[in-house]
Amino acid sequence: MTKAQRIEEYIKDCFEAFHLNYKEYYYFEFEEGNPEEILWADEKGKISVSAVEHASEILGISTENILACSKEARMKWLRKYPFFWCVPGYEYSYEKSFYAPGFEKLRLIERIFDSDLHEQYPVRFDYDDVVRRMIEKLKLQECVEPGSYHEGASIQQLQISTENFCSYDRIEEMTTSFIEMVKTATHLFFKALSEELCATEVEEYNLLVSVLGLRDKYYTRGYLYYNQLLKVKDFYKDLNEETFSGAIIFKHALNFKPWRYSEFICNKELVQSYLDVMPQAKAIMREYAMEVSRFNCVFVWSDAKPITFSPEEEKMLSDFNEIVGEEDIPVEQRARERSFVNIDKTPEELNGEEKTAETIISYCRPVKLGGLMVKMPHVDNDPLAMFKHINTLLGKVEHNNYIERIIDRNDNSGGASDE
Amino acid sequence: MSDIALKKKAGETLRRLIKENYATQEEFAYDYGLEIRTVSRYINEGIKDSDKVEELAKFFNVPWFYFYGIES
Repeated sequence: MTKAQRIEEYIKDCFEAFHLNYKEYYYFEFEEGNPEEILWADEKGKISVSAVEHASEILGISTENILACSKEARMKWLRKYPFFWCVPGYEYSYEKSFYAPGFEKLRLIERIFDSDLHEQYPVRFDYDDVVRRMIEKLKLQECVEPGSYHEGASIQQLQISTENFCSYDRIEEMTTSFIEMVKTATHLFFKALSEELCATEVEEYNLLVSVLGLRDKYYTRGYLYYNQLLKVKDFYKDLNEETFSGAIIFKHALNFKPWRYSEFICNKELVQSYLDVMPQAKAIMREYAMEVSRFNCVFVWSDAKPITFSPEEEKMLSDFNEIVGEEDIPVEQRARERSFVNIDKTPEELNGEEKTAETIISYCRPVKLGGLMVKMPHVDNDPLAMFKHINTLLGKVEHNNYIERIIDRNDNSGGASDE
Repeated sequence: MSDIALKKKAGETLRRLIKENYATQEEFAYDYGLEIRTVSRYINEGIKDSDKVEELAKFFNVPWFYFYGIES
């Protein structure tokens, strides 16, 4: 293995250890016909310095340590934030909740023999029974909402979804570590506005930017890594704890969903601590509790009409199509209207989860009714706030996420733009 | 009470519950996870979807028929 290959492998291992998708954060070169290949080395096999520097920014590991493939440099963050160690167990517990006993054995066999037994996974719910109940409900609903049931028509494109609670004995540790990550990222952000960060602080800050997706609320084109933040720190100099959430968001933070886990829900103090840093999760938790109690069914009747809008909406749509140079889609060619119906789970299907759901709903009630307190983020009353942010940051903060690079490349090559 | 009157009644009940529990409708919108224009629509035009009424009833810890002006 050449040195360049070893370094490439080290970088990929780091992305995996921190559960970062390197194709999103780190997109180095575009090649015609193979847009996702990343060029780690040049034609002579020498590792690309700029590729390493870019990985250094995203991973919070110095270029020297990357070139040396330092495991200790990576372990430093894994030790400080046990959140990373917990991710596999966290994901597995959730996946397991959708299957009946027997699932774990099949997964073990898959791993041993490197096979795919997905089709044989024993599902937890009798979906045929759910469909039967769905049709019964539609027939009953027809009495009060005509058009609910289409006699003689068949049900097509049926999708049934639900959510479950699950169990993971390290969720409290994982959540505590996550809260520390958010608080540290916020603390270092403010510190960087007024003084120079030392090398270790820069590395930690940058890693947390990657993991949490720290960026401007309105300017979506780049994450605020340290070098980017320095270019625009005057813009944020008046921010304080109250106004921070009105200007800065953690784009990836809600990918972590501790409310799925019963051990988290049972710990009211931990839930409050979590909501102190993620107030927007209060509403999401409540919706999740509602999702657990039912099956969401979406389908199309075989005789459903194409989607139509009011005359005003049709005119607006037509005007919009004219502006963007698109043809109006004739009504008969449009997608057909979908039907939505919820089916409550039976006590057997809930299997005790209704108690956990009720606990979440009690947390999410108004404070006067015993719910947990959350701080509403500061709302900037300046109607031009969005434009101010974009105008200030455009050209100063690099387009350092995957989607924005695609847009840039399409723009530069004269191709169709997504903007 | 007609269907439309019931839906409008639900909207009025929502307005009253929000006033009892929050300083502003924006605070409720944030807590519940709705756009403020949706809250305004529910209050001014009524709540058409009985599933939505049921969810709101659970949130405010009242029986669903309370939204339609039925005490018990």
